[in-house]
Amino acid sequence: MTKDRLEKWMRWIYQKDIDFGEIFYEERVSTRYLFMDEQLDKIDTEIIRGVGIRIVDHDLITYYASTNDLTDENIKKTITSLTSHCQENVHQESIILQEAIPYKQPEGIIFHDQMKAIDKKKFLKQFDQRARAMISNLSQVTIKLNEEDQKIVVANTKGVYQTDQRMNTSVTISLNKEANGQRAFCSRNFGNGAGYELLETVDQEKVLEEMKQAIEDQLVAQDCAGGKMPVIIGPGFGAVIFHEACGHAMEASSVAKKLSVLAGKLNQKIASSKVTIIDDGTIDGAWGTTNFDDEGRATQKNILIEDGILKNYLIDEINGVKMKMTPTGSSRRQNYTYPPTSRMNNTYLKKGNDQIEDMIQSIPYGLYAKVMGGGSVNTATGDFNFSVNEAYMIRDGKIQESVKAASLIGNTVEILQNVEMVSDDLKLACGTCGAESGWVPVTIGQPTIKVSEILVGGAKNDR
Amino acid sequence: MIDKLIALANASKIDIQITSYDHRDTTIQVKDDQLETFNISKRKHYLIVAKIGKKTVKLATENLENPEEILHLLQEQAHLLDNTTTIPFAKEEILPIKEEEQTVDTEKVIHELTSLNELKKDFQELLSIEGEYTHHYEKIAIDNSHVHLMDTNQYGVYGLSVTVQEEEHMESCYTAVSDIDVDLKQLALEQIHKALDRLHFQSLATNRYNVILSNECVADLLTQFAPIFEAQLIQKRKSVLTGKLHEKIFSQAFHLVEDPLYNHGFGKRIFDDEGSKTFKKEIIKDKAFVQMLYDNESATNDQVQSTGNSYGVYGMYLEPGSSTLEELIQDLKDGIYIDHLTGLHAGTNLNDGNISLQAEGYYIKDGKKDHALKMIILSTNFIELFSHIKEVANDLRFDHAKCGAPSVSFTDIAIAGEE
Repeated sequence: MTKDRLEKWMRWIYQKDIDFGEIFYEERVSTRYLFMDEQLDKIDTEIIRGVGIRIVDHDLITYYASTNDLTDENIKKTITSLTSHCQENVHQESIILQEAIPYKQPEGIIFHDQMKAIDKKKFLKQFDQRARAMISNLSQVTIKLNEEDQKIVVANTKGVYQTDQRMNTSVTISLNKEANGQRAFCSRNFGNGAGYELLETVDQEKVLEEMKQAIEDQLVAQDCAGGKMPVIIGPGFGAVIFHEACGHAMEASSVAKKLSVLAGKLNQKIASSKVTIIDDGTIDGAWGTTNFDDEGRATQKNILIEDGILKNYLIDEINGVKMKMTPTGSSRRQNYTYPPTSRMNNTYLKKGNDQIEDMIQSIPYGLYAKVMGGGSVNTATGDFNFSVNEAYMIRDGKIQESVKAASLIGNTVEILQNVEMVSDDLKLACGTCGAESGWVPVTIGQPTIKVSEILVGGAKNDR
Repeated sequence: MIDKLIALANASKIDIQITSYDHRDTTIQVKDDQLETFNISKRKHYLIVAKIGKKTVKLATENLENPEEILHLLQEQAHLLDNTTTIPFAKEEILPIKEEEQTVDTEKVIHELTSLNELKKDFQELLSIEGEYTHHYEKIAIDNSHVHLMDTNQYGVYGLSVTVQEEEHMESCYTAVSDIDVDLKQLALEQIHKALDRLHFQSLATNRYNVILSNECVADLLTQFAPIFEAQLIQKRKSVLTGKLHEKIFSQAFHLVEDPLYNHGFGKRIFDDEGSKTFKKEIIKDKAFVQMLYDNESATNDQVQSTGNSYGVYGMYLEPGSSTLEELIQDLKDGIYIDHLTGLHAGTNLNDGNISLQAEGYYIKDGKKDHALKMIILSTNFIELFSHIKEVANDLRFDHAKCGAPSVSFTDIAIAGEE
């Protein structure tokens, strides 16, 4: 997509009496290698290329169109249909788009096309063989290698013109085992916002040792106890609790509408003093990192909650106008078919100095949630849920039997205050977050924490 | 472009099939008395399947401008792949259902949705009412050396979300319906009353209860668990139903059918994404899982014919019974009525069938709704749940294209609560 062509399209938009206009162009190639049944079973490649055109009128109503018919004729027709209610020929002059900040190629990256496909297959095969050698009688081993390359160009009526290139690479391994009528499933995921140097960071032996223990524990897992109890949540993906409990509620998409439980609470104490939450889209090579957001603004480090006090929200351009606040470089979208809105990038809980042993010893009856799954939240009510995939009961200050997967539910206002202890073993993990502007890669992170009370969705009451 | 790609492939002795999708969507979102977003989408994309030697490879793309490059990519993939399952291409002509694209009366829809804001006069607690209408039109075509198949599909869906507030406490409820003649005011009133009830919710003690799940909840569960019936997942030993074909493990009343030709408000599918003819089939009957759902690859593996399920399920439903939901509630006497489940993507497991889901609804006492329930968790298993059916109601409802269900009464199901 040339700058000249974008300028021509922007001219058609700028002639109309509008508040804001934007064109987002995207090219993306993603490939997934699926290794299953001890063979390279499938290769799925997807290639997309299209534009999203956004018009915001003086009443701050958004008109959005997406198309992959990039002929001038179609683009002109699309702009006309979005602006049919706007006065014509308001601006006679052309829009002058600024110079883009050039893309700086990161160092030490193994780009997706620099690794031969046969070597990718070799990695998958070796990982599969190692898993089968280390863990007996697996009924299935599934390993996915995903690579994604995205190029974007964004221009708007404020003169912004910015390009960006993004890479994401991930490996997921999942194991299935059946024994004595029980079925166990265990999965681990590794990803970066960079290239195939990721593979060198995966310590296969260590990962498989941990998965072996998890899968054996699951085969003898008992029903989880239900009810309110203290819970220790493991590091890394455990941070799904903060992603759901407060991350979404700090996104301007719900705050601007005043339909967030955290709307109007800036500078108020909303969490325990142990809680400092940061969203940082600039962390080198992290899964949720981008150089620029999907409105062309540089990403930045945003301190959202500091020592329990709400300090900021995640803000995009239009909601920034509605809220009279400065955008935070947090505007994201799955692809050109979605209008962008405020989203998280790499969100984590700052480490504390409590000891994990002290956390466990402090609980007479509770749950150790070692590995978490996904979750969801209603930002208006603050009610949220997330699942625990691998868990153990705690009795009399000791970790005891493994229990079946369960959901944990709570409310933002209550749970943030219940964060009682925070350790120093901060880890980051990668996930995919779904919301108004589609699915985007996000990092979540935390050290091990103790929550004094949360509702656990078990099937029995054995207190 | 399609003909050029097929000709070029054939010249290289590559058998190729192209599925083309042409989508046009219009979405109107309203908040209170104002239009918030107007969104249109026009997008074509293609799924290319090629048989190269003994390998079958696939590529999804949005443009066919460079057929040489597409063929090169497919050949590279075939060289790398180990899987040698050769799948058949569509051969049979299927008479298309041609539907002209309906235009959306934007002004009328905006007026209908914004006029719901008037309800604020009757409910001082009503903080916000958000409405949405989406119209979807899709043309699907399949081309290979033998056939050209074509089908169209379109539907409209309304969504409503209401938020009520009492002091600092907010509650919200959401619903969606595919009936374009739906009484929106009535629908909004139902959601408002539900949200108002939730303002004064209670939890309960962790225990086993007799439970009714609303038609929306049962449909949500069936949608989430639909892949467990697919042969692909079963062959890979990743479905809770692996090894359970023909075992009598469910209640007699769990009669599950898939009928892509049933007019359920989301149009019909006469062939699947591989060009296989669709038809009505019974999946669970007489307590047993009797029919796996096949696409071409899984059918080839089992040496059977595809059941036309390359897209999973379309129009799968639980056969309704004869009693009304009200009769089920009266009959329940004391128990729990759940009308909302949250977090299905995380709280369900296809491998072992486990279900652990945040739930909302009402406590039923003496056959009547007594008080609203929140902060409870449905803690069960797919096989356990559907082997504990007491009765199925007659209120079959489809909220989305995949699955529909009536409300169902279950006995002895674990619910976790705050006590």
